[in-house]
Amino acid sequence: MAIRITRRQALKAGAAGVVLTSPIGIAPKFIRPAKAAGLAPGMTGGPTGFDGAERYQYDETMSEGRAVEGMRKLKAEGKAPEKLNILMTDGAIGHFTNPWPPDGPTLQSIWEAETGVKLEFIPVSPEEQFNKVIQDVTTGSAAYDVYTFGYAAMGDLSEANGIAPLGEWIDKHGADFADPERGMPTPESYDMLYKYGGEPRSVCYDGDAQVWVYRRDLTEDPAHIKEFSDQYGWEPGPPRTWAECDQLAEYFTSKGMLGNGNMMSHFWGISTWYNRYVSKDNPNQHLFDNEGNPLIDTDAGIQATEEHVKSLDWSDKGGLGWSWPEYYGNMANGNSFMLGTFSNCPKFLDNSETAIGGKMGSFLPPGHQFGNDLVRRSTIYLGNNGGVSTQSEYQEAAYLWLQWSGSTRIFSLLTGNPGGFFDPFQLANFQDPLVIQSYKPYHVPIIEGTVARAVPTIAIPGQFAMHNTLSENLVAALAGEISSQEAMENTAKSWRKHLRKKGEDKMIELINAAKSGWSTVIDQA
Amino acid sequence: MMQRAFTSHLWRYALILVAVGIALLPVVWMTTMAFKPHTEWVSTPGDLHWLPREPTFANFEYIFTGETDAYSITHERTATRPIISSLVTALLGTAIAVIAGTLGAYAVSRFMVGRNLPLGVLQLRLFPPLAVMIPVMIMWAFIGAMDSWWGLSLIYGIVTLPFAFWLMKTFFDEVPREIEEAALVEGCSWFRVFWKITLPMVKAALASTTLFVFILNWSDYVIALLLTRKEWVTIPVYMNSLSSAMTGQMYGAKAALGLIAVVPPVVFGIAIQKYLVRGLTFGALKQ
Amino acid sequence: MLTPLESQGRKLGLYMTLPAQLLLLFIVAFPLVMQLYVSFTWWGPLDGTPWYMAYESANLFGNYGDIFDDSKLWGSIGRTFLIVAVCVPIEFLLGLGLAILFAEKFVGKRVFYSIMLMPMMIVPAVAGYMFFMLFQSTGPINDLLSRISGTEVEILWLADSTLAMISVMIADIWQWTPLMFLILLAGMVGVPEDQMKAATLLGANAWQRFWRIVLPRMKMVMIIALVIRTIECIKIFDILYVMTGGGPGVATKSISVYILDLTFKDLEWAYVAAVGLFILICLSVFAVLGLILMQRAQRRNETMPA
Repeated sequence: MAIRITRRQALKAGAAGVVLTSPIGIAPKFIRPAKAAGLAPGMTGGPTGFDGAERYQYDETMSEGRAVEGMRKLKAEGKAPEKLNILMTDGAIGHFTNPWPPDGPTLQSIWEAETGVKLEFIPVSPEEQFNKVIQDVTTGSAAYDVYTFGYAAMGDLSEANGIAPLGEWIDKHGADFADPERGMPTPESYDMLYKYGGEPRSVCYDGDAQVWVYRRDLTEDPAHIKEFSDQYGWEPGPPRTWAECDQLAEYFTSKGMLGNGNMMSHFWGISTWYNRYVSKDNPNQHLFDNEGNPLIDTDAGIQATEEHVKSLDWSDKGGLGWSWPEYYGNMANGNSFMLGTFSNCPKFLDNSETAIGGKMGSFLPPGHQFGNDLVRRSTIYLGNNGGVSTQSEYQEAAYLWLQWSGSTRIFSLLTGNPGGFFDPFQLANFQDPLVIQSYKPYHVPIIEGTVARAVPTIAIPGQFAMHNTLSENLVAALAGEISSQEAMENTAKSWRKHLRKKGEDKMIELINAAKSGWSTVIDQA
Repeated sequence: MMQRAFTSHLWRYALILVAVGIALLPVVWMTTMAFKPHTEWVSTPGDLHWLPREPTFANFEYIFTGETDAYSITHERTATRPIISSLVTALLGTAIAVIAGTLGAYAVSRFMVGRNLPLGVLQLRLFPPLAVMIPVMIMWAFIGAMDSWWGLSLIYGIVTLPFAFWLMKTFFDEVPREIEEAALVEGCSWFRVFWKITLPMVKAALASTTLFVFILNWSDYVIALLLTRKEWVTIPVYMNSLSSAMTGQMYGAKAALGLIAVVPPVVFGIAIQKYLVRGLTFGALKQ
Repeated sequence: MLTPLESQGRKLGLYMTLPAQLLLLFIVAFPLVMQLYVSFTWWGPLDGTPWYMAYESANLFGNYGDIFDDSKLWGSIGRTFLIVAVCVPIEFLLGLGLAILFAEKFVGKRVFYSIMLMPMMIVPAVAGYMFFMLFQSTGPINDLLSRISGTEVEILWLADSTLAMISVMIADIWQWTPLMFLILLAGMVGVPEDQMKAATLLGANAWQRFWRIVLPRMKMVMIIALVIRTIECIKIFDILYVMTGGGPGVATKSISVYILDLTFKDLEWAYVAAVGLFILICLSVFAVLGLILMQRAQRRNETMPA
């Protein structure tokens, strides 16, 4: 499914949260007469025909150019396929098939014209995405050359022999994923999103750190400033700590809205809990200690869960049955005060189609204070990475496509495109005018700061099962069936059993290796 | 006495009307939803409109063309292909089940062969499909049947074989043997008897069995969910994609598709009312 | 000794059963062998080896031992049986009541009868979706309740553990009461009229006639209806999965949904094989019991004076 970028009849999001967002506010600004087609001097490929197209063009010294060149070489050697089969979620295919900017070309057409290799996207719903991948891997169907999946599934798919290691090709074709000026913001974040067990295993397509947005207009309203300050002793605005965050939630709930617009439901709500949990220690509240013992059933974990359950008072209790679009819908309608969610929220909601166009603000994640240190943390729980299927007959070709589409120039163009939900995370993306236009000037620096403060969740093999247990227990605690302590103890017990079953030594090693992906950025209180 | 008969009649009608009302309510809701524009999909309690205030075909337009002026989103997949897929696989699956079932049923009914079949096929029906899906997935991948028309048809044929077999067996059991025997005495071969005499006699029953099996195949969800990917996705699986995370539930579009999915089985089901009991009880009961 | 005609028939019979036999063998042989083999190992997709290499992680009865220690499994079995225990009797009683209403001739019977059968012909996934819409907190059920009660009702049907279960049950009852009705009505119509007339002449009132004559004659039919519905209800998946996906939490997770989760979330395929076989065996035992019940009822029916 893709968002169309032409002006359509105005729509209001429904009360239960049907979101039909249309980023119309963005589109018309780019509709200018097309410039004469042609590449900038010295460039060998890339998009043409719109203002600023030269920013996305490349020559053979650049990552994208080398990918195209590599592909042509493979083609000459007869090692390239007619077409590549790519499994991708419904909401992301638009990145490649929607013209962007509106007077520009589609990414698919650029690639096909330059390499002569066709692209076929096999759509899948986000809920079914991993099922289809694992089914293909285990049954040996060999239906895809490229899989996409959450970065945390890299471990699952590597162990299952489903995805090929990429290190050799990354070196050979000189990808710029880890480029200190254009690529990942920190070496830690490169480890987190590209590597499993020390080896690059997939190409990241989606930053997906949880970024906070709020109703700036409300905190600037003199009446609210006065009433809130009288009550809590500080002026309402972006909170620094979770305690402040909860005070804001409590206050705005008393004003007849959802003070806490966060995702609380099964599967989606895990990230809300994680955000609160991981900053419970300085510099990080890890999920496991160095011996592989779960830490979630310690005081920190139980406390985080109790606070999480308490925060349901400021949320919509019906939300336990929602998925993320309904939470977006509440924000869009003006029902929610704040929401820590995927970074594309302003991209889709801050426009004239919603009740909150021009009224949004965003802030760095809230944290916990330790003396003079303020530990602000966000988590990357889902996301989308592209991996090369080991069953593909054209693995290097499949990799080259990943390199081309995941490199910083093409990816900047890709992520700015409102036709899909892949979010920016590379340094170059945050400087890109089209991305800034789509994601809003006030929001982009916050995304960048949040990515730097983001930590991974569990990324070891079996993480799906571990997350599922955690989520079921959290929802049971929210529904009042069990206490927070029981929820954490049940989860910890199940995690221990899981590690034992999968071979503790190996798992502990992987858990500790993954700790290199945890952010160490500390703010001054 | 008259008075009492009248009141009891009144009661009967009152109760029946309530029951009919409940039976119809969800269907009516879906039908009107299919013609509602986006603004009427949800509403606040106490202010609900059962009939669309501004009836529209936008939902149908959306699922068949992938876009409509009424909505600002587009869908790359339209419903045409899934509808064809549902039709093709349900029809072929029905053919497999009815042919294998009819032949087998006749043989079991007449020749004292295949004694394992009655119970064997019944057991097929007993098991939750999900409990055996992993080996089936592996098998289907191995023979290259994933996401193919014949792979899905084959599994449908197998899954509905028990119904075809048992239904036809009870029909054949009822055909008086005297007619067949007379023909045999006159020198007809067994197969000729089956083909020219017995089969024409159970024509109506065969037609009902076919429709019944078709309804069952058409109703599948979980098998297609696991054994298709893109080309041969069926209606209920495609329906999932109308609730993509991007847009939430597309109530109207889903209802429009649901309406299309509901029509064939209901029409066929009413057409074969007479045989429904037999079908659903594996022939154990007549009506 | 077989006559030539009989042996000709035999031969033809073998040919004719061939397609059905092959289909049966095809779907039973490999899956059963594979399930059995894999269930004695710890093989799973994460091993990165094909299934036939599963012996590398053989553990004999480890998986079967785990079954008895798996509180999630027993939770889902418990919920499934709760659904069966609530839905099947209610469907039965409602179906019986409807059958009594429809037992006599009245104007419009055919039309009403057709409408009453409709729910069970609706694709279960679509039926699940219908009820998903109906039970939204902003949906028509709450609207009806609001109008009847005169206050604003905003019940969170699908977000509350108990109510979600009740919603699923209502949907199942809606869809399958017609089946009970259909079967029971067929049984009721089958009661010979002369018996009823004789009883009437002997001075039996309607209630006595129903209790003494109709009900005993219907025993067989009732058992068939109950057995069929129970077996189908244990497999409940489509309608439930579309409505709640097993949630909130695990509140409506049935056996089938649990197996799906085990398969694609937990990736414990060897364990799924063991659980699958375990459930097959339990259901088989159950089905045999049902068959025995049916046969016994049938025998008693036959010995009853007509």
